[in-house]
Order: sequence, then structure tokens, then C-alpha cells
Amino acid sequence: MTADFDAIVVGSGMSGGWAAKELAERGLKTLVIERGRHIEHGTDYTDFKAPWELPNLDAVPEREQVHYGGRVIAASTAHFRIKEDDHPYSVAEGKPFRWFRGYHLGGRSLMWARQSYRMSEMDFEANKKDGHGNDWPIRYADLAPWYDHVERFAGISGQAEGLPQLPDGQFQPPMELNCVEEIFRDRLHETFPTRRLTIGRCAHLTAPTAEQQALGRGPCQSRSLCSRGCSYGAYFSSLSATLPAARKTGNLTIVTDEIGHSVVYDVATGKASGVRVVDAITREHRVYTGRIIFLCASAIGSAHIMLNSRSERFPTGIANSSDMLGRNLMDHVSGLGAGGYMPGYTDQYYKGRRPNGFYIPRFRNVTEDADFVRGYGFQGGASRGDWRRGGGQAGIGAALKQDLRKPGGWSVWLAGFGEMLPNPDNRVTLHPTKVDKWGIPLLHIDCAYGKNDLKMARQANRDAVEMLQAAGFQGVNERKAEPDEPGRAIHEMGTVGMGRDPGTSVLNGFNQAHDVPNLFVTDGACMASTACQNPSLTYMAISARAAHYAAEFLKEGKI
Amino acid sequence: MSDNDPMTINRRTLLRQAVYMVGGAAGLNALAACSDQSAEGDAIPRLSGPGRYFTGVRMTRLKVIVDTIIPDTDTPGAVAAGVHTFIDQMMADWAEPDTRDQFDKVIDEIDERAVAAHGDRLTRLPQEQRFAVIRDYDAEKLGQRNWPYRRFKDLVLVGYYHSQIGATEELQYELIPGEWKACLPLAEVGSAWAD
Ligand SMILES: Cc1cc2nc3c(=O)[nH]c(=O)nc-3n(C[C@H](O)[C@H](O)[C@H](O)COP(=O)(O)OP(=O)(O)OC[C@H]3O[C@@H](n4cnc5c(N)ncnc54)[C@H](O)[C@@H]3O)c2cc1C
Ligand code: SF4
Repeated sequence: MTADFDAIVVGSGMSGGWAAKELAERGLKTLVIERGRHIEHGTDYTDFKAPWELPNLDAVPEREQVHYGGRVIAASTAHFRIKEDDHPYSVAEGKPFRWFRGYHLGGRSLMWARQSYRMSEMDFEANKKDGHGNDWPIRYADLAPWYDHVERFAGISGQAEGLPQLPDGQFQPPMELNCVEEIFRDRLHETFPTRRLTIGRCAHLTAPTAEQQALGRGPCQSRSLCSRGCSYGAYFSSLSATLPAARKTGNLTIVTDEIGHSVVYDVATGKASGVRVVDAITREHRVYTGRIIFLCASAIGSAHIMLNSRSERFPTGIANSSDMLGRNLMDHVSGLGAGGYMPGYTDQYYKGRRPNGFYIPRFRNVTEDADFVRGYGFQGGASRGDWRRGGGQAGIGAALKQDLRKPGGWSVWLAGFGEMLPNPDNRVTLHPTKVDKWGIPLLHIDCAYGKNDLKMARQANRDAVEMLQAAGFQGVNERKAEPDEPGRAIHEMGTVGMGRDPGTSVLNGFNQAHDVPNLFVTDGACMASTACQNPSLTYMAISARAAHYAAEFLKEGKI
Repeated sequence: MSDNDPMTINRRTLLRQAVYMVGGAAGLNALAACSDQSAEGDAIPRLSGPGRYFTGVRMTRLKVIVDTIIPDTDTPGAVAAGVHTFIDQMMADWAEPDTRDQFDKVIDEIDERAVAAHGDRLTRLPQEQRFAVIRDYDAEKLGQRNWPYRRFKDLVLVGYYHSQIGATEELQYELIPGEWKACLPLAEVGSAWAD
């Protein structure tokens, strides 16, 4: 029997877009299955509306906010948010976990903050060195050419710094630091010579290449309206970049509003034969057959599909002979950091809205010791206050107007992202009884920080306060004493981990399931450790690399 | 002549009675026009009709309050920018009952302060006294970190500074700046950016 498609990719977000592009460019007839609705690049965005052109000045009615987890959100971006009550999940008693999703074509590549950092050799070696988690089956050298490849295509703006813990990449011109950020950098480097402050590396075009322009992408206009989608295609998303490139090959088919239910396993061949989907609208089931399957439904989403792919051979989920499926759920330790004010410099200002901040790469356990393993980096930014400051300060009338006509004082924020250690007890499972609207078992999440994570969090706060004070900021306060609950960093990973040993990991060094040779998982699920860098660039590189090998294996008749 | 004599009826009574007699917004608007030429000048505002949420009385108070918080100066103020209409619309389209109650209460409390301090309704006080009442209320409530008033003031500010007038005449706004200039003398930029 011939398959419907050469390759099936489940999920159209950051990693699915890359898998689809690379597979289609290698001549494979590729199907992308997306559970959410179609989004049209450009026409479905609201990025050409001035504040006063947005209904109710962009407020979502209070009664509707409950659907979005009780958060106050902007109406102009609400269509990228799921209504939480449509997509419930359960958590273990006393262990909150925030699962932040984007269910639409393009996934969270439309919603991300675009910070893009490479992992380094020390990150890939860490598990082996300190014994936490499985040794990564790949090293920096395996991924470096793929980082080059995805950076050239996606377009990453940044400054080369020559740091071993944060390798430089194929950068487009960096954005500039503002005056107070420069002062902070200089004073930081004086006081702590091995702590660096560099402009954020972000997936924005500052000097688009011919390839990028041919896809209809243009340079960033410094609007900071990115969360509404960018009609210029100036930031990287599946819709601005990978899916249009995949479409150009003529090999791409996309279906939306179809929920990946399970991977179908064929005992006779020992391979996956296709993907069962549920139509999100009609609830009909159908099966698409394919020669290779890529799961890119996001870390927890891909584990969910696999756990739900039960057969006689794999009663607890496909490719789970190691019992590691769903385990080692991780996120970044987040919510840490500090803020403060810089007196003076009131004659200095800026123009434009830079969609980016600065970054202080990890120094703990790199150039400075710590009483925990691994480390953290800080994102941050400095800016002048705007009219919003008037809401909390006494004063009305002409004097208030006069005051708010001028920008307020300078303030700064630092937000730490720390490496959370892998722990097999942090896991996702299928809920034993409850199902969603489509009859799919709910996901149950059982995840909490460990001792190392919490120790690190406290030190991150101390470091943030110390750095700001040393640089002359005043009124310095840590953001909060304890980290946010896991999931809040929206860097969830693990659950279908890579490893060398089929007995203790689900995937090998090509993101190929040890048990099912034509099944690949290339989103954050595959991560054997989190490092402390924002992870999406690594998912891109890993997805592109895995697609390359999958296509090779197929050609060689190995799978 | 008695106060009830239609010939001597004063402006204030006329307007008050008109509210009962005419009832509808159309009648109020017609009357509002002549209130501006009132002998009491500033002391009597244009009477507002009921809003989509607020009663006519509260709408009138709200208009006075936003006008006092952000008056016309060398640039148009909150009333010109339609902030009172915006807040009314937010009550109708956005607010939950709790929030509406909070806003009603803020508006009424300010009026009660006027009566307590000066023996008359806020809308009938001369400009300086209105200013003093709202200035003191603002300082007191923000000093107490009073949440309902903080929300009220925030909405006045967003209504003004994100209106076209507030964003482009009072401050500056560029939908498409086109470039990021990281360090510029404030004098070269002029005023603050609205966003
Ligand atoms: C506000 C915000 C800011 C962020 N900032 C950054 C940042 O600065 N830097 C960074 O590196 N990362 C950032 N992230 C994280 C980043 O968005 C994710 O790491 C990235 O999108 C993950 O890629 P993915 O392909 O695994 O998942 P996604 O991009 O979420 O895509 C998954 C896709 O699969 C679909 N899907 C899910 N389940 C199924 C199913 N059963 N069947 C079919 N389709 C399915 C989803 O609808 C979705 O389209 C941010 C995220 C958010 C929300
Ligand atoms: S800041 Fe740049 S990427 Fe963001 S919306 Fe504007 S043009 Fe697009």
C-alpha cells in the first residue's frame, strides 16, 4: 500500500514549520497537521491600527478575561490565545503548572518574544559532567552548522561577543543599547569584569537578505507591535518564513482544525504508518498515512499524542519501552530578578520602539562559582517612564498634563532565566478518567522545582540586586522572593528526551524514536537538559537537522 | 414673585425641571446648548444626556471630573478627546457589575465631597472649588492606595493619552517609527512618546 504522504508533520509552530520546510525542500510530499485554525499572514493581523483605532482602546471585556486564565490581555492579540476552559488539563495537588499554548497555524512562533540564543558546548556536556539527566547524544559541533543554517534563513540580529557559554552566530546588525543601558554595561564590566551585558539577540531582520526579501520579508520598523503579528514579516515566524518557503516547493499540504489524536503503529513493519486525527469541528476521525512522522506539537503536546498512541506492543504509549515517555518535564526557573531607578540623564531620550532588550549571559559556574550546579542568564531593559506613571501619583489639572508631557525618570528591569534540572518524577501522564470535548484523555501534569532550582533562584535574585546597586541604580528591589510556578517561563521541555541508551531515553541523537525508526520528535520534548538560554533557536536547529537525516535515511532505504 | 413663577424661574431650576419634563437625551441636549450662556457661567456645565451606562446626572459629573483632571490648556483636554464618553462606553462594553459599582461610587463620592466642603453639587461649583475638591480626593485616595479610584484614574489617562488628541497633539505617537534611535537629546525629540 502506498502512503498518502512521504512525511507527516504534526504541529505548525516553531519546530513544525522548520521540519515542513526542510522535508519539502528535500523533495518529500509533506503534510502538516495543525489542530488550530488557519491564520492568513498579514490580513489576520492588527498591526496597522493606532491605539485609538482599536475598539475600547484594546481592552478585552472583564467577563471574558476568565477564559484567558483571568489575565488582562489585549483584544488585538486575543485571537492568538486559547480559551483555557476549552482546553483543560489537570495538575497534581499543590503543584501548580502553567501550560501556555497557542493553537492556530504558526503556533507560538506568532506570539514569542523572539530572543534567540545558541546553547554551548558546556550545556551539551553538563548532564554527563554532573550526573543529572541523560547525557546528550549530540554535542555543540553536531548542531553548530544547523544553528548557522537556521540563523541565516530566520534572520537573527545580534552582537558577537566571543563568549564560550554563548556562542556567536550568523548575525544581522545588532540593535543599539540606549544611554542608560550603556552606562549600566560599562559600570557592570568595571565591577564584574567577567559578567557581560550585550544587546539582545533577536529574530528580527535588520538587514534582510535576498532570500528573505524573496519571501516578502522586510526590515524591522521598530514598532513593537509584534505580538499582533507583523505584516512586514520582519520577525521570524512560521507564517513569515518557514511555511511560505515550504509552500514554494510545491510539496506542501496543510490541514487546519484537525487534532492529532495518536500515531498509528504497524506491528507487521515495526514502524509508524500514519497519524489519526479528530476533526476539531465535526469530531470525525480519519487517518493520514505517511512514510515518516514528525511530531512538533510542542513539548507537552507531542508527549500527549504519544501517550495516547497505545497498542498491544506499546500499551503505555508509542516508543515507550524505556518508561521514559512523559518524564523529565522541565521549564526555566523564572520570575527572578530585580528592578530599580537611575537618577539623572533626564535630557536623554530615544525614538522608536525597540522590540528587544539586553542580555547578561550566564556567569555562575562559568567564571564564578556557586553552591548549586548550572546557572542563569538575565534579560533586561532600561527605559523612561511614560504617562502611565500618572495613575499612581497624586496630582491633577494643568500641572499633571505638564508633567506627563515630559518622559518620566529612567528605570531598569532584570529577569533571570535559570536552568531547571531534569527529574524523572516531573512528568505528564494521561488523566485516568477525564477526556476533552473531542474524547481525548486530558493531560495530567505533576511537576515541581527541586532543591538546586530553588537555591539557584535565590542567588539569581541576589546577583540581580547586587549588579543594579553596583551600577548606581536606586530603589533596587528583587521582583519576588520565590520563582514563578513551572510553566510560566513558557519554555517547557523534556518529556520525550534524547539519549544514548534506549533503556533510559526515548529518542536517539537524530531525534528518532529508539523503538520506532520512522518516528521523529523535534520540538522541546526532545531536550535532555534546558540550559538557561531561550530555547526556540535550538528547536529550530534540531528540527532542521533531524529533517535532513530523516530524508537521508528514507533515501537510503534505512527506514 | 414666588420661585415657582415661570417668569422668574432661574436657570438652575429650569434645567433641573427639564430633566424631569423632557426626560430623553434629545431634550437635554437641546437644553444643554443654552446652559453655556448661563449667568452662572462656568459653574453650570453643559448638561449631558444619559450615557449608554451612566445616568444623565453621573454623566454630567463625570464630564466635570475628567475635565478637571485633564483640562484644556494649550492643547485640548479630556472632554475634547471624549474621555467621558469613552469611560461610559467601557462601563457598557467592558466592565463587570463590580467595576461599574466602583466607578459609580467614585463619581458620587467626589460629588459628596463637594457638598460637604462647599455646600453644593460638584457640577455647580466654580472651577476653583471643583479643582480643590478633586485634587484633595485624588491625593487622599492615592495616598491610601485606593484601588477603585486608581482604576478610575488609570482609565481617564488611557482614555486621554491613547485618544488621537492625547497621543498626537498632547504627546507624540508614530505607528511606524521606521527606525530605532537609541540615544537622542530630549530637546530634539520634544515631548514624551504616547507609546
Ligand atoms: C509570550 C511568549 C514569549 C516567548 N518568548 C520566547 C523567546 O523570546 N525566545 C524563545 O526562544 N522562546 C520564546 N517563547 C517560547 C516559544 O514560543 C516556544 O519555545 C516555541 O514556540 C515552541 O515551538 P514548538 O514548535 O515546540 O511549539 P509551538 O510553537 O507552540 O507550536 C506547536 C503547534 O502544534 C499545534 N498542536 C498542538 N497539539 C496538536 C495536536 N494534537 N495536533 C495538531 N497540532 C497540534 C499547536 O496548535 C501549534 O500550532 C515564548 C512564548 C510565548 C508564548
Ligand atoms: S517591531 Fe519590527 S517585527 Fe515587530 S511588528 Fe514592528 S516591524 Fe514587525
